[in-house]
Amino acid sequence: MSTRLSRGGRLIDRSRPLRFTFDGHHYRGFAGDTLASALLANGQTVVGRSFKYHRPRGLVASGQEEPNGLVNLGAGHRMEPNQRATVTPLTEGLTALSQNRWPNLDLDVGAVNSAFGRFLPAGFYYKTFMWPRAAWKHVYEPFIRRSAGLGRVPEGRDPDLYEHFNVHVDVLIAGGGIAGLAAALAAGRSGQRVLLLEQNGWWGGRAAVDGPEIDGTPAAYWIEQAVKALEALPNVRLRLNTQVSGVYDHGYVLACEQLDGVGPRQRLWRIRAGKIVSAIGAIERPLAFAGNDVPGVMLASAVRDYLANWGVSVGDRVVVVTNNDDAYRTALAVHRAGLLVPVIVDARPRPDGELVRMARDLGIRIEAGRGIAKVKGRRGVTGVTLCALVGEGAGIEDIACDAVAMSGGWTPSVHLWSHAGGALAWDDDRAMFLPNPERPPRQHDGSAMVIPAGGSAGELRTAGVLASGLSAGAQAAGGEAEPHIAARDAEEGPFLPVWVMPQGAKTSLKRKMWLDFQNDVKVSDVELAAREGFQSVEHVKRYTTLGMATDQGKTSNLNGLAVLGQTLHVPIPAVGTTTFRPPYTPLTMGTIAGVAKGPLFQPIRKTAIHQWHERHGATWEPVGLWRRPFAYIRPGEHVENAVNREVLAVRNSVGCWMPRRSARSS
Amino acid sequence: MLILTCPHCGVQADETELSPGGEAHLKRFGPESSDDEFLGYLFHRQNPKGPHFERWRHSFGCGKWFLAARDTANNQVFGTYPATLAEPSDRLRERISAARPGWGFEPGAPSPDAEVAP
Ligand SMILES: [Zn+2]
Repeated sequence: MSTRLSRGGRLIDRSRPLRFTFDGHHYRGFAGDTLASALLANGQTVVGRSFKYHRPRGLVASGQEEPNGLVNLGAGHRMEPNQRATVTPLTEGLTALSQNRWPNLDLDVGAVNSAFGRFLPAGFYYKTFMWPRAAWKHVYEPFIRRSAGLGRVPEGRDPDLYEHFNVHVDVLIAGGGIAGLAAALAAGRSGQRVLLLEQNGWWGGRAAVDGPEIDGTPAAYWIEQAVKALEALPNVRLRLNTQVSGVYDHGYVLACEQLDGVGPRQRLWRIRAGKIVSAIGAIERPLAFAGNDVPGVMLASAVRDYLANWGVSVGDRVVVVTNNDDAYRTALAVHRAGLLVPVIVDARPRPDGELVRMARDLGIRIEAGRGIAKVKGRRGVTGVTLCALVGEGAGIEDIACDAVAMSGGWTPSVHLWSHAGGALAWDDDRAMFLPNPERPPRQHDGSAMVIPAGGSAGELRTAGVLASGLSAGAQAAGGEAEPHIAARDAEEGPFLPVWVMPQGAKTSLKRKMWLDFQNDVKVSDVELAAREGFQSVEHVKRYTTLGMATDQGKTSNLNGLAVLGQTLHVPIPAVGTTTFRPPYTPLTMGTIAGVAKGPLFQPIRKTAIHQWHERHGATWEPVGLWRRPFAYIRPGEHVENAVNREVLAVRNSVGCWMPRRSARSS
Repeated sequence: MLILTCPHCGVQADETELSPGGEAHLKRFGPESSDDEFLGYLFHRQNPKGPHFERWRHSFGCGKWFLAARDTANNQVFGTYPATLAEPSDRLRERISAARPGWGFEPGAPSPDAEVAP
């Protein structure tokens, strides 16, 4: 079970305890916690139910990409559905409710869907609810409506304030990890107006968790110094808690800032930028094995994030399953925290990098060329069954554990590159889509508008991340490249593109391999869609609903493409990739509207004689944004009497009508 | 949101300051023209993927009409010029040809046959 460790957690302040409730239960956390880390610290591993099968769902990630940890936040006017627990800062008295379960999280009536899962395959709704026609209105639609939708709609009007900022900058840097900081240092030196925006409440991204050495110092120290240096530059502005949401034509960018305290709740930055550096990192991929949706199966990076950032262990016995070296960092972190890593299941036949050797030296068992045949447990992981990666999934050995850390490699976040039309190119060695520098999104003068750096440019090693940040910053500001920053992290061995484990898995296993956790799309669904003739990824996506949930497939799209490619026997780039559209994560309508609501939505325009009309009892007729008197009501009259009186007056004496808009009649 | 430089007042105008006016350099056909010519003038447009000449009005600025050469595929703007010019300048045309080899300026509406192309 997950719990809070007595030590560790670089982001929490243990001297400031906070109270909160989840589904009416009272819990405690610390300042600096997210709702997700606080739930895990309290042993709450089940945080919701899945959309279609109502299966218990636990947290998978630690950041914006989280597919499962969606909650109704707050109450009454301030209730907000579908808030990601992983990026919700814990506050005193926070109230959250789990979603998509009835009557409660432990007992869910809809879970019967899960038992009938094999009868609810891809396209089920399209195939089943077609006829008879009359049944649609009275049977099917009410049924679907009741079972559809995550979260609840808030009651009443949103009482909060929102505002817009209009900003012009020469260089906008999205992402305040070490790539973004390096880019800001390089661009800042040129004297141009630089704006650096970071979505989280801290600088440095993952670097402080993974702990490479930068410039001869620990990463955390270098980050601190870099931020100090940037704060000293008058032409550089820095903002935390501000996510670049979308990139549009000719350097127009929207970003959303989360505010706290008095005043507006969120601020929408409307930015016109000369150049945009996309330093928004990469997102880890899950692996598809049977039972990979059981609460307790998480991304390997998230497991070490919870340890390092919030002092939370996700389990006492953590099995690591991977196709790359990076996940060994999780095994080492878990081991160093005094917890157990019963086995590292490595899909590669002969893993041998620096991290692998470190794990071996610590006596951690490594099973090479193996996969996970299935995860045992229903409301939480109780163990895994190992199998040969190349086989059909015959069990070799059962290993007891209460958490699984999985890593299928990393997917560069190319969203900001792609929003305004940047093309992608497939890198076969590293199995990732990367920005294609030949076809960038363009500024009005034809130059490249977005320059990728760090993880979002496919750089995953510290030295490469820093170098690409420096060169992107210099290029964006039109300046000289900065001097090199030395960095040291572990040498990594090659990664093996493995998507489904085991490789020859039977259908019974594939029906339990989740690709899209939020929308309940499994490997078997994508294969079925392919068999039924869907070949374009855009069609498969709509047929299966892969990647169409509120997370927009941040953890599922590439795995889905890979499975589709394997089924159709074509390489992944031939399947194509889906279009990335803004916003990067959902924006509230309040933020988009800003102050343009209520009386300010369409401010009423008044003519010079408006007050004269008012004094004479005018009732108004809207003419666009203008108001024109409809009738002048005398004491004791209704509108109808007043109109009749005027009609009679015109009939018996004389009338004067000004047929032009009252705007002009004044 | 596009940025176009108004050739009259020199302002780098945001799209919100501008009103679009459709394809530029149309040859006007009046009451004496044939039905086909009039139809083409009213309805047939080139709608290319690539360099496109279009009319814009600096409505919330100087108020004047101007023309812009913009690539519809990637929004690169090759230049803007006053709407009083009957044709884009040679310099502008050379600039577009250099950026898009094989491109040639074809004024006016496409022939009626063009619309049945697959
Ligand atoms: Zn103008």
